[in-house]
Amino acid sequence: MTELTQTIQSALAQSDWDVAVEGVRNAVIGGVRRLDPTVSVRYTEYFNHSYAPDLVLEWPDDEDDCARSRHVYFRFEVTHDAFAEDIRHLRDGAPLFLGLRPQDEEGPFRYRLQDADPAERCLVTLTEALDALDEHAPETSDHTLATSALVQGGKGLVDRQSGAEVGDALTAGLPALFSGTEPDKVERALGAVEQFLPDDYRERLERQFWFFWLGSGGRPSDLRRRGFGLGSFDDDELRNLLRYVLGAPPITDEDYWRQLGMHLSAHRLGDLLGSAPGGNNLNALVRANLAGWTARGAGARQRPAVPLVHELSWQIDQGMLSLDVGDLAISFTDDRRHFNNWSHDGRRPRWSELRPKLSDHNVTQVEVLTPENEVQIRRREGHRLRADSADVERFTGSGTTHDSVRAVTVGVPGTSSDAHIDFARRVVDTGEDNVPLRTLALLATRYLSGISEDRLREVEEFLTDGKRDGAMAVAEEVG
Amino acid sequence: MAVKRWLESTTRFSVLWDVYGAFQQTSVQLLDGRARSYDLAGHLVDSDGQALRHFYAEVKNYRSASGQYALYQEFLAVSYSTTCRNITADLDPGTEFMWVTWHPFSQRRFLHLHEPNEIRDACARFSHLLGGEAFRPEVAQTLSARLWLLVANRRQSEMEMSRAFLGEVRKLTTMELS
Repeated sequence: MTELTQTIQSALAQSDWDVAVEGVRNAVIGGVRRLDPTVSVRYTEYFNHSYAPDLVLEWPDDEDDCARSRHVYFRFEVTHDAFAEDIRHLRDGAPLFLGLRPQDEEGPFRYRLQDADPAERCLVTLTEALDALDEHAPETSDHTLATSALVQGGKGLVDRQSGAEVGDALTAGLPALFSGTEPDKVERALGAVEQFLPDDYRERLERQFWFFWLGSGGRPSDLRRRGFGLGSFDDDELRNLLRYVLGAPPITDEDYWRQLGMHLSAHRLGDLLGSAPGGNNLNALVRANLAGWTARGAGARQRPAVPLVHELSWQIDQGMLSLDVGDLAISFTDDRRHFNNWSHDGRRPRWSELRPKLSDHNVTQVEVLTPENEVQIRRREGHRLRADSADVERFTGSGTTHDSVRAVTVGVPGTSSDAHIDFARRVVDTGEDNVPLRTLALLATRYLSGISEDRLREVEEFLTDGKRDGAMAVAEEVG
Repeated sequence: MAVKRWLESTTRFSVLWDVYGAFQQTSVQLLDGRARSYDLAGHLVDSDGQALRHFYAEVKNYRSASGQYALYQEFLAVSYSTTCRNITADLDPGTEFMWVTWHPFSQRRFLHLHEPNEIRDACARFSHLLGGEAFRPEVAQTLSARLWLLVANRRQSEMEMSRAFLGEVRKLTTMELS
């Protein structure tokens, strides 16, 4: 006999009816709360009544603020075929019928639920089955993820053996789920619970499993359920997942981050999270997807506070993915309206400073401010505008210290797109073209940050993970 | 279950216990010190829904009168013994007793089966249940007023409330909960 059943039998041995009723009621409430800590339980003045429930379980509903509820009826006999008649009377609202006697006294179920409840939404179970659901649960594993679904929407006839089978599958599967390993055990746990859940609760539980599987570093491709995937997550679910996973212990599986990143973009990441501190997992997510993600614009602005010891990192700030490079944060987005209200106080470099950076670079336009003029030099169709062009030198090489470059337009390496670099606003704009995030990050860092060549090299290594691969070649091309 | 549903559908009974689920709660103490179990136990409910006195019920799913009278007499003797013990040992809790059958019996004296004389005759026949104590007519008088004798109909279930009405009653019972 299990703990809950034992407690109930002890309560029923009390000669005082009120004491017995209270003992049974409290034991069941405790058992239900153990399986679903989110439940609010209220009790009626009735006990084992024909049509008045013993308990009303309630949960807040996120969608419409109305409480969802489920009635619980205590019964002394739930396996006998005569009980089907009871179910026929009370099946509306999909209640939970709870047998209070030990399974050995009750015997096996001797009817089919569908004969009494054609929709098969009622749950008929016994206290011993409830105990068996988490009897062997290790303290480190939270069975309530799955058992709460059974309390809220469980259906079918769940005897002690069925409860134990579910409990054992969860005991093996949940640690696997929360460590992102052994997907076969996770699948078995999910399958064991799902047979007792209606479709809507099955989908909800699958999403939760999917959520924690990803949140624990499990590869998306290892856990496939009914074609269900991250793509079907709504914004709230995705936001919650990202917050969970970015706050989790470091996940080093690059393939995991790449698979997760397939459902994201730099813009969406910023849009979803609004703001989020940097960390190993955000760095890993961005690094794994730098080659695949794109953006249309980058903007640099001064950070309000800079730590003494600074490490390059990614963060989410003001709704944008941002690269933290010392006293500057460079943000990336597809929606350049983010930069609309930025100040125009960026330092405009002198041509002589800029020229070495632009040398051997595909410059298509230069905008120069002299004390007398505002000059725009454009590439002629079919020609290349070299940084040392005499045309440019004519306006900028006079040696006056007041000449400054307001903007340049350069080709984005590896693409057919141009990037307009506005030094006053400290914004790089690629128009309607999305360009690779890594390339844009390298471009923006080089032209907007004003950092030293050594520091620039550190940024390049950070963005390319120290690998002198194709990405590094792009970095060098930008340089 | 049918009797329980029938009684509770009147809203004037609450049948908490049955002998198979909680025999401790359906058991009573007799004058001879032994315990006897009824089939059902619960309490009466007043018109405002408040719990009143306890009752114990014996249910006979019989299809003929055969042998019922003897069993009924034993029921009377057990009920008398319990009432006598309750009145002697404690403040009188006013416990009531119910006999429910699907077939009437002793039809010529059916309307008198609850009277003190019947209780006296039953106690004489089952005197061992009195633990050697003398019969007390005033207790029989008291018990007579606390007896229920019900004959159920084989179509009883058709007289029960529909699921829709049950749902309305449930709303009432769950509107203001603890």
